[in-house]
Amino acid sequence: MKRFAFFVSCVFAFGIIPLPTARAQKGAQRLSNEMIRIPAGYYHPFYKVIGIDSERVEALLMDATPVTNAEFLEFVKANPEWRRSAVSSMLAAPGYLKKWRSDFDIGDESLAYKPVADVSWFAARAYAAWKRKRLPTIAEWEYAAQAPIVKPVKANGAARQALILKWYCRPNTTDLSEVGMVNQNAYGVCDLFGQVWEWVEDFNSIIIPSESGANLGALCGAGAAGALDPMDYATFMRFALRNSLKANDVNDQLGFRCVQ
Amino acid sequence: MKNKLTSLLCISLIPLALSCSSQRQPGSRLDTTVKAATTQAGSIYDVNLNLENQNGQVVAWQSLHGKIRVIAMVYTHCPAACPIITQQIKAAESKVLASGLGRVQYTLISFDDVRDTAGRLREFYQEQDLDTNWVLLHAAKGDVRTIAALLNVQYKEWHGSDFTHSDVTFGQAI
Repeated sequence: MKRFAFFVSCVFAFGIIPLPTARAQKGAQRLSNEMIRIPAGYYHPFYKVIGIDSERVEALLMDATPVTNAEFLEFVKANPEWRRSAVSSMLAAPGYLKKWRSDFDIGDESLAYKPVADVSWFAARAYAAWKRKRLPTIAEWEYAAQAPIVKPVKANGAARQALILKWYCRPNTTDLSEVGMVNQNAYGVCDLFGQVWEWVEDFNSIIIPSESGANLGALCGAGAAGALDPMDYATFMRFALRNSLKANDVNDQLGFRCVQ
Repeated sequence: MKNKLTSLLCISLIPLALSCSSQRQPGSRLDTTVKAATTQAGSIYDVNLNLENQNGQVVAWQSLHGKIRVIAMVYTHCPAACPIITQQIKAAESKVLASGLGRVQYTLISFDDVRDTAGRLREFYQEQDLDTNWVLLHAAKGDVRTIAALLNVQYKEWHGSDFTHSDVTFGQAI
């Protein structure tokens, strides 16, 4: 019976059986509109600077899940200057919200509770401001993401890193899942890994020794020299990605969540 | 067409003292590898935000539109690169003036939303012996991040006192 229940939840979680979105949301570990309290603490920057070992992170509230298409649609309706046909390409590159049917129509209903993607940093920030929230800083995001994984399995330390890499290895062609379905960490924050990459407020703050060279400096040998843990490949990937982005870039694997 | 947004000339002036083997050769002064990028429809001035100049006047970001402008981001407490960036742009200015290419505006925008007040910018303006083609601006923290994003400038603040930043200078022909 237990096994069957697990099978059923997998089937729902991976969207094999299409469900009305409300019901699917009920099965989620966390709802998309929930915020999770993250206590204050210290973040050890991935790229060290002489004399600075840790950065204090104040207590904050973090969205339990990435922002969904349904939520982003509400924002676009309330702020039509952010509709696909009106937005300046300087603020959102071509491809912005490209999976939607039209300006105010997501089209495919199964997308509603999946993470919104194809949004620029400017758009993500405008959404956050409209919600009276903001984007997390790198320190806040990474600090919250350091917590052990508790669902679908408990994993900490090396096991946690291996699990994250497994999620990162998922081919880009795989459909996204509805938010809150993939994993949850000890704070209760879901899907920090394994769904979409996420914009952060200070994505453009990564100065790596080869700054003037290729955008992928974070992945080159010199990038590793200053890193906190040269074995933490998953974190390298996030820093390399952030370093490669421009603020108007959009990508179908890149979304965001907010904090307060 | 001259009033269509958009060739962004990205002139790298001075490689900062960041070292990596893959980096450009240092000491390549005004050797301008000029990259031209074209955007389809959109201007870096498509954002609503206000700054304040060295005379304490409010300047709308959008009002900077419409002139040929060289922009760099600096902070006045910068111990190394920023005064050099400023002087390099000044050197470029004298060449522009000598060549009779017409009037170009020079704009410095501060990373430091706390210490670079209008008064401090005014001091820097005088220290650096700048002329009336120059405007020095500061803005609120979030807006500084926006401007850096628009100009594709990377920077990080360290404990509110120092900034690591990239060293690009932008010329925008409008």
